[in-house]
Amino acid sequence: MTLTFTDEQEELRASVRRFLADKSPSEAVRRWMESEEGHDPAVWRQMAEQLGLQGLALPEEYGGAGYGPVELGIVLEEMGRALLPAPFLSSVALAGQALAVSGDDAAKQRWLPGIVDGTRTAALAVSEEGSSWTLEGVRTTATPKGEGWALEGTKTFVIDGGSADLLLVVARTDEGPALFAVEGADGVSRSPLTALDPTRRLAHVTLEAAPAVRVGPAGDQAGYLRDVLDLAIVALAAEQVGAAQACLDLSVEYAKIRVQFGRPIGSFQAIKHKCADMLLEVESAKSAVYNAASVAAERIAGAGEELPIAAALAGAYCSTTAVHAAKETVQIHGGIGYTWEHDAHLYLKRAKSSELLFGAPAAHRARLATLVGI
Amino acid sequence: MTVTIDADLGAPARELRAYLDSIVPGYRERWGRDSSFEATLAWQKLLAAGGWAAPSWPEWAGGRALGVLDRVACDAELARVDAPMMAGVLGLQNVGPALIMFGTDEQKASLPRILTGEEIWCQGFSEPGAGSDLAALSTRAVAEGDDFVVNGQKVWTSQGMQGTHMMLLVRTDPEAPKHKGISVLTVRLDSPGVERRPLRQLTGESEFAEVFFTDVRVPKTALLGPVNEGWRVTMATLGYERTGIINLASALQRDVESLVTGLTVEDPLLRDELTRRWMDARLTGLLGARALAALGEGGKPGAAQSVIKAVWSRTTAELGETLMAVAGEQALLAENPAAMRFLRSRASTIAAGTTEVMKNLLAEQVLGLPKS
Amino acid sequence: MTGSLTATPADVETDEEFRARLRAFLTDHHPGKRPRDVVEGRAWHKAWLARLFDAGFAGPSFPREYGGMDLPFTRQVIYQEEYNRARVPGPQGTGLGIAAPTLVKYGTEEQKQQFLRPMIRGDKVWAQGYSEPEAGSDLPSLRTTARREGDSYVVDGQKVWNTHADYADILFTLVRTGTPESRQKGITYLLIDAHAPGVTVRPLRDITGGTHFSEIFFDAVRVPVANRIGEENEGWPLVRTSLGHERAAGAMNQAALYRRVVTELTALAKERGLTADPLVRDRLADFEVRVRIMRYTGMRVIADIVSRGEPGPASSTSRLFITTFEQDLHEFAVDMLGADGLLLRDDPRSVQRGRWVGGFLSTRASTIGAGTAEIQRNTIAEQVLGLPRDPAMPPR
Ligand SMILES: Cc1cc2nc3c(=O)[nH]c(=O)nc-3n(C[C@H](O)[C@H](O)[C@H](O)COP(=O)(O)OP(=O)(O)OC[C@H]3O[C@@H](n4cnc5c(N)ncnc54)[C@H](O)[C@@H]3O)c2cc1C
Ligand SMILES: Cc1cc2nc3c(=O)[nH]c(=O)nc-3n(C[C@H](O)[C@H](O)[C@H](O)COP(=O)(O)OP(=O)(O)OC[C@H]3O[C@@H](n4cnc5c(N)ncnc54)[C@H](O)[C@@H]3O)c2cc1C
Repeated sequence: MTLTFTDEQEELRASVRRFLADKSPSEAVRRWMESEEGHDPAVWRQMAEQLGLQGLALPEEYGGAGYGPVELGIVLEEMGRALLPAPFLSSVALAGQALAVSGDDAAKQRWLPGIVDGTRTAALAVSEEGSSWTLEGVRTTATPKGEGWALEGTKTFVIDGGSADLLLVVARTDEGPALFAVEGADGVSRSPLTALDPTRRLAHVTLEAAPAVRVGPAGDQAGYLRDVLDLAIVALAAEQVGAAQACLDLSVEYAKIRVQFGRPIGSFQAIKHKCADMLLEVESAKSAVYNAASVAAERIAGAGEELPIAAALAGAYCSTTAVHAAKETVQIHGGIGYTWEHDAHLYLKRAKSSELLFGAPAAHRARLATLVGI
Repeated sequence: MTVTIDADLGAPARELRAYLDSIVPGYRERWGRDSSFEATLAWQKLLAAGGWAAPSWPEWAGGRALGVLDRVACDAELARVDAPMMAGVLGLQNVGPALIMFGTDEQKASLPRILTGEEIWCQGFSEPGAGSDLAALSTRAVAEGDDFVVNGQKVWTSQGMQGTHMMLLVRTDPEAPKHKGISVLTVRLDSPGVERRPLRQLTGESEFAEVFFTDVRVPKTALLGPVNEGWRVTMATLGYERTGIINLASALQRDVESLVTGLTVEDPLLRDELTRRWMDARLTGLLGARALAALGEGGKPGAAQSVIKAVWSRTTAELGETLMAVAGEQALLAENPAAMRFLRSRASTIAAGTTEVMKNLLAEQVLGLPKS
Repeated sequence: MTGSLTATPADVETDEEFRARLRAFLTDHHPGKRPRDVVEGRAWHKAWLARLFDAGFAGPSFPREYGGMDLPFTRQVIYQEEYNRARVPGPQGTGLGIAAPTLVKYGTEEQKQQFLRPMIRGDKVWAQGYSEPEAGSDLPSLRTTARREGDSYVVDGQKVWNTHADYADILFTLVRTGTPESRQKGITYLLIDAHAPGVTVRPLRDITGGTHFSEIFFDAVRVPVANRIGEENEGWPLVRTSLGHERAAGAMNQAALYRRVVTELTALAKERGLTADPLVRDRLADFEVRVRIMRYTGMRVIADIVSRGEPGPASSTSRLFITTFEQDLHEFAVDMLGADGLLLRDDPRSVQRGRWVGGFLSTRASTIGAGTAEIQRNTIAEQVLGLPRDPAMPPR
């Protein structure tokens, strides 16, 4: 298990941080979050061309660098910290990893190169109305049709589902749930949702006899899909930890310079103790997510049976940590923290939304309880 | 004596009920659930027409001189019909009482216009460098002939954009200790040199503003209360509306009770959370009722009253989160009411005194702990 | 954890061989159950520590010449894991964890020769005499005085809440040798023979009903100057001495201990049919989350030490994490058990001999002893996050 980073990994972190500070500072995030696309396509291209981030954790056969969830986690942590608006979580961490671990060479051959070089994006469509991030809740159906399949159903809260070139859709078949690739507009209608978190695009996707290709291992896919969902939870948790760290940094910095009653507010114990508690939670959340990323890497290598536990644990703890850190950041900033122009609210909305995206903390705990035999 | 929020209606509340029955249907037909400034202004005008915009004001000022108990009973009536806010709430609740207590005849002439909403007042207290530490404010007013010349900046001014007038705290004696050099000015916001910029809140709405003063000439007759005694004037007016916080408490209780009973929640964890919120809100309401009982007997509301703001803030903030949890994934959407409510609830521990500062005050003033 | 950065080439044994050898010893020589009688229990404990020492398995972080094992850091971690796994008693008294590192670092050769071996072997029990009635969190205000008279100091004053002092042989104390106002500049580190004339130790009953700590009175107690560690008036900087990162290795013990406790609590909940309740499940799952994080954090700190020689900020918060955890856990356990959970150890109907309610009471001390939680938060805020000090506080 890797809970600390090599020099090479630290260098990766530093270069991603530099890149984001340069290309995606707060002003840029704000500009792009108000835009139609929701992100800066030029930055997206540079990310692929200069740093190769899209392919970093995807297999070398398809142009990637062949690293895994640990390195991906580092990148996501930095993106969470910078609140980067980009289809990275959706296209790379969710859909890209889903393809990478699919064992389906044809699918990988067909779609991974585009994801790796950033010329195409993909999204993973799991949730349906009231279903949450579970396989049990999936009602969308897939029926064989000709060479392929036809999908029928409605997906919602699909991250970047409005813009993705490829949709990977979880649907039910007679043999249980399975993953399907949908391209093109035939039978697909997408409508953007006005998300609470302005830095992340969500969409509603309706499938009416949408032509699809089955992706992933032949036969029962339940285990495979479970892994796909868990990898997503781990990826999101890494982002949450980065955002929580950013909140702590913002708060500490402000508490040092904001003077009231003739002294920096950071010298008041009420503020000090809030910051100390935030540090405790952020550090603990890092332990949870570094462990989870490391187990995920083992899982991809064929072991890592603890992935569901590690993911549930990271999902539960990191969500709570990020939300708490964001709330305290608003509070420590007082009136300024309640304004639009300060970044505190962007973190608050990101944290609160992320908490709900892949299952609320209580849902993660309920799953964990079952997994560990409570 | 026991007082509950739903105590027997006194005569004033009965009269108000009848009046509301006569105006609400027409209002709803025209405005529905619109919460825009225009709608709330229309509502204020209707209430003012019946003499109900500020029933606690003295009769000479256009009020009904209602006592605490009647006042609270009337607020319960307003809540019963789910009455909207009034547009000029700060004028009615905060500025009006200050004019009543300290105003000159000329200043008091504003009172009828505050009632009808012709004048919308806001409070220019906070500055970029003076929030919790309000007495550190640095907006300057320098006497020059018959005028004060005002320079400085106010921030986070609620209704700063719609306001016609401002109750403005300025520094008139920079040499004096910080609480002793402050004065209150009543300022027309269309005066030359006043510039306003809307500030967007984290909800996306622009409900407050920053207001800049550049060589703004304000006649000396606009001084409210004695010069350099602005701190005392401010504190006295904050104390005037002691029922304000009690209403806040009972409103929260009513709000949560109707919310919770309107929800069907099966998840046992969420039910537990909601039940806690329900209990917290009930306890907040009971604190209010206790304070009210003491006031009704002519006594001091005591510690029960002092803790209400902090308890209210916490409950409001936690309620925001609980409702969001109940909404689940639907709260991922910006227009989801629970999500919006969650965002707004973040102000409850900041506006009108942060929870941290409130707790310092409780520790020092109620419990007698030494100052830090 | 593999790859032992700190292992010396002279080490012929591999980490795993070492682990196996230690495990075998601990299994073969396990002392069995502690006798219930207090006095017998202490003798039994002493005998175990001596056996451990004689076999060369005591004092993992201490130099060989004073009877320790001088293990590289990674082996200390293994040692702690195995020791904990074997469920054998740890050191008696509070000297080994707190005073011994100071002695190693600042003691004279004679002092080290004289004191370390008997402490590591458990022949002498050490207790800490720092706190005073008027000096707890604000230790630099302590008032117990030591006046120099020839080759001795004459000590007068009072200490309080001294764990295990009632059967200690040596008290490691902080005394005032400077002026009353000298604060940390006038404090001397002194070892006092607990059996010397003028020393009175009075056991104090604590919240659990037991007598785990005492108050100590010094009435003109003569202490040889040779028992002073470091220079006169320069005792304060010695107080927070640790050897390498032994504490990080020790933190894993807590994680292992609580791993077991959470499992036991879950088993108890099941046995009583409580795990069907979603609220109970949710809380138990939360403890499961936290106890695992405790372990990962411990491992992360260790991994950081091994790979970059420094623990990261996680090491500064782990104590706060653990203490809050243990309080929450025991409080929940009592709530979960309902009225039965309130019965104390001696009641025949008590649940598991009252361990949970006992733990609920005893863990109240977790956020008080050895630096209160408030003080810890202040320290984290100022020293890790760099927040400004409260100007009203005396300078450090
Ligand atoms: C929605 C909203 C509406 C508002 N409307 C108005 C208005 O109409 N008119 C107006 O004048 N103002 C208004 N305000 C401003 C409000 O009064 C201030 O935000 C508030 O007083 C806090 O001041 P600050 O924002 O400068 O925060 P600061 O005082 O800078 O506080 C920052 C942080 O430090 C903490 N802190 C400060 N001092 C201490 C201390 N001694 N001990 C411990 N912690 C401390 C605070 O609790 C807070 O967490 C409004 C604010 C909001 C959010
Ligand atoms: C079980 C147990 C075992 C112990 N064993 C030993 C031992 O072996 N040897 C020994 O010498 N001592 C021992 N102690 C004493 C322990 O070190 C002290 O109790 C501790 O340092 C706190 O000091 P105090 O009790 O005087 O509390 P105080 O310092 O009086 O603190 C009272 C309260 O005020 C708070 N407080 C104090 N200063 C600040 C500040 N600056 N900011 C915010 N809050 C503050 C504290 O957090 C606490 O809540 C033991 C205590 C316990 C409970």
